Amino acid sequence: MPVDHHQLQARLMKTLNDRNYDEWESLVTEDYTEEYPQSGETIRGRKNVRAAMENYPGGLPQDGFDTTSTKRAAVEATWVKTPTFTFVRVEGTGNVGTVAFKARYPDGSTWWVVIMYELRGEKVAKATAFFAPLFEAPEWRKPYAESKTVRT
Amino acid sequence: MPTDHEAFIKRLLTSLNESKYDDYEKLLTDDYVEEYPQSGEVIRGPKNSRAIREQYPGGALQDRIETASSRVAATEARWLRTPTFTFVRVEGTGSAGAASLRTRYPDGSRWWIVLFYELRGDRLARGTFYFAPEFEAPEWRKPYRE
Repeated sequence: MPVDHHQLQARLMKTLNDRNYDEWESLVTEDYTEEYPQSGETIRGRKNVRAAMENYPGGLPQDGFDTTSTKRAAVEATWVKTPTFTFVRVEGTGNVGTVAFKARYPDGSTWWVVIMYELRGEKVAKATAFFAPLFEAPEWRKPYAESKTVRT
Repeated sequence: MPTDHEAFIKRLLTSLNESKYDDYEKLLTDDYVEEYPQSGEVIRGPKNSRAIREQYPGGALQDRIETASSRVAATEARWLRTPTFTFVRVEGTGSAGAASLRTRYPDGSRWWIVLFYELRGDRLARGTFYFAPEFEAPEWRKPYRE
């Protein structure tokens, strides 16, 4: 039976929001690998990834994620709203997928997190994560762009 | 015939790298929409999408993109190297896909761009762009990483 990407990502998000790392471990493979291309880091094994989350400076706050709803046009895209992450966009078939969500960090900054992931069976085996900060729309682009209320 | 996502993205990036905006426009639908969730901007139509590239402060330098090869381990993922973008990862089936690539801006900074896109026929109908800067790996994560 094909994996339900929406459901899996919603479960993953919930475990992270709840800081329920035992539950989180059950959703990834033992050799789960996480990559951060922006810094060149690779974290191998779910124990290391869990440790990195648990040891995040300042702690990953349980209420640190934006829960307000934002409006966003998305043609033929599927959006999943989770209790603490604002929006999750999930697209996936077979064993690969992508997800994007907005998260707030302990210092109060808000970032978009975009993840390309690969499944093995019903578990996540690999994730390549990108961290994209909010920014002000530049003046020079105003003649060509509309403004939406995505930012917080 | 299903769209060859790799070939399509390669054509798109080549047109941008070479500043061939006439070619670029032909790859977009007339009602193409480009979104930047980080700033809340929405750019509608091929003409506006073209204009923001042509009007980019400092100019769209043809040699701005890093060509040196970089290594990114990717199990069972498909990576495509283009002449000017370092790496492009393309995943897509049907009408939707995702691509990531690394580029350099006129100020010398290096960024990853992640693009979620939707095709209609053999043209790009929507692109959602995320811009992620490179950063130094933090000390505290050293015990857990390579």
